[in-house]
Amino acid sequence: MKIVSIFAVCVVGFLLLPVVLTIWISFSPDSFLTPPRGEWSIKWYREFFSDPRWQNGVANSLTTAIASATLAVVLGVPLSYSMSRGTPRYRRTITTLVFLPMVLPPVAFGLGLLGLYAILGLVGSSLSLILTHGAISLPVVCLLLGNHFGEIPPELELAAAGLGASRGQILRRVIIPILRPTILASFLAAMVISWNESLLTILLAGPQSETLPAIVWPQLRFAASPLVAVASAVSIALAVVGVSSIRRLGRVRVGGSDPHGNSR
Amino acid sequence: MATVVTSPSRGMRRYALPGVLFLLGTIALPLLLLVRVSLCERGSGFYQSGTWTLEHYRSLARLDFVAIAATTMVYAVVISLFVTSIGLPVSLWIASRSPRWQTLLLSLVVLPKFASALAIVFGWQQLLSSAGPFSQLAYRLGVTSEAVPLNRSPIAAMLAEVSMIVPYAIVVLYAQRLRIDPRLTVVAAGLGASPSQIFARVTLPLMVPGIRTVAALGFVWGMGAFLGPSMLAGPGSTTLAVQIHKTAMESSRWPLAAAQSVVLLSLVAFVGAAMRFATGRRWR
Repeated sequence: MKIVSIFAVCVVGFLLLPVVLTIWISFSPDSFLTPPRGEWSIKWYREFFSDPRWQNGVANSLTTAIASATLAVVLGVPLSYSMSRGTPRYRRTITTLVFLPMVLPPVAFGLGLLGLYAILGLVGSSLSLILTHGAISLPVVCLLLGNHFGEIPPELELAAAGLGASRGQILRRVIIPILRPTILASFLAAMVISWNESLLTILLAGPQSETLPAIVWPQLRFAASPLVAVASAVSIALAVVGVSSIRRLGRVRVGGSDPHGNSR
Repeated sequence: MATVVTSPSRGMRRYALPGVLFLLGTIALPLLLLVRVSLCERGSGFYQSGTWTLEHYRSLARLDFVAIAATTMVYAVVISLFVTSIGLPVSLWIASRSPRWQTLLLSLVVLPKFASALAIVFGWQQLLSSAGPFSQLAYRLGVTSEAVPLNRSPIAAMLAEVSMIVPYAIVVLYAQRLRIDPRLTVVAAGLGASPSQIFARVTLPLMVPGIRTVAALGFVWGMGAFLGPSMLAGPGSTTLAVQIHKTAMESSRWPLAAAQSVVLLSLVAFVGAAMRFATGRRWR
């Protein structure tokens, strides 16, 4: 047991190591990619926030994240509602389609998307990134929402239907208000996914639409400076802010939605 | 009466329609286009309409490409094995801590997933460089005669990929562990089973669905791994994803890159189907 404990602690440490080192390097006082020992400096942060290209990248990352998360939630809520009330066979069919983007090799998938956007004249546009990020965050939105739709007692819907509500009214006035915390949490999760999405973004972004990972990539490949570390540190910091809001929202659970009473 | 609302009527399916159409447009359409482009003659653009040829697939039937495909499979198998065998003990260990520690440990495990994959690859690149701690340690201990860069090898690439997938593995296996009825281990102990017998005959068999999911995810993501192999594997070792990126982005040979993508997708689909067949159940 002791060996397992030591092993597990080492694994958790190893997982954190690259993140810690990246943040450490971002405080380097010179242009070497070595973590600063004695002298720390925020010089690269100043440079990052005063460079129009990086500023543009932060703005693009933010707008793409908000737009694609909105898209994923607007499509995902009715989709997972329909899945949760469907026959097992219907559920399986939709599930396969929804979770496909998670298992497709991103380079192959991205190449197909690039071809599609070329035909549509959308190459390098923000719209193409928003659609792509929407498609890859949809599985996560459905995963987060799926369980909770099942937890809503059917009696509530029956009661609403008995009082004369249409399906649309039931969804808008009963289901969505109950699930509001989960919907907000899945929106933030979709934002974080879009914010960090690297591989498809590298393939699809253009100079007008480039998000932070798209600016980092060529620099990482050819001439890395501590700016790359700063960009990573800034994006981690902003993502963690998003996560802490998810957790805060996650605590606002509706009473009775947890049948086993074992939620933390 | 309950069937009135919960039955899968056409009215319910209507709600899925926008999402399904969107997914068909952003997933099915690009994949079909990829297959079509792989059968096109090479032209100036991405897609030469009206041309048909098998020449790109024929040009792939060469030893060097088969070697790349084999390397990719090796990556995927190794990544899958490590992800599973690291995720299992760690998730069981986390599940055995107090609730407060479980929350903290899970947050720490998930934290790296809130950095982009590029940040993680950058981190490993610096950690494994000749100025990094591992290389310096090996030098100081006299294992190597000088500080050797460790960030240009397939092992470094696999390490980075494993470190990016392990958080998912831990979360999935932890969730699987929570589904096991805690009374079962108590009963087993009461019937005289030793801790190792409880693990081997109660816990492990009940963890199998989670293990299967994690192994499959590790394999599929390992097959598609790009950032690790392209940044850390060094020049000697190429995977399909890296090769596709090179063919498309550096040589602009779109139909050939599409054909290579179709091969990669078929390999993933084939192994997925084989796993489903071997385990006799549908995989997610």
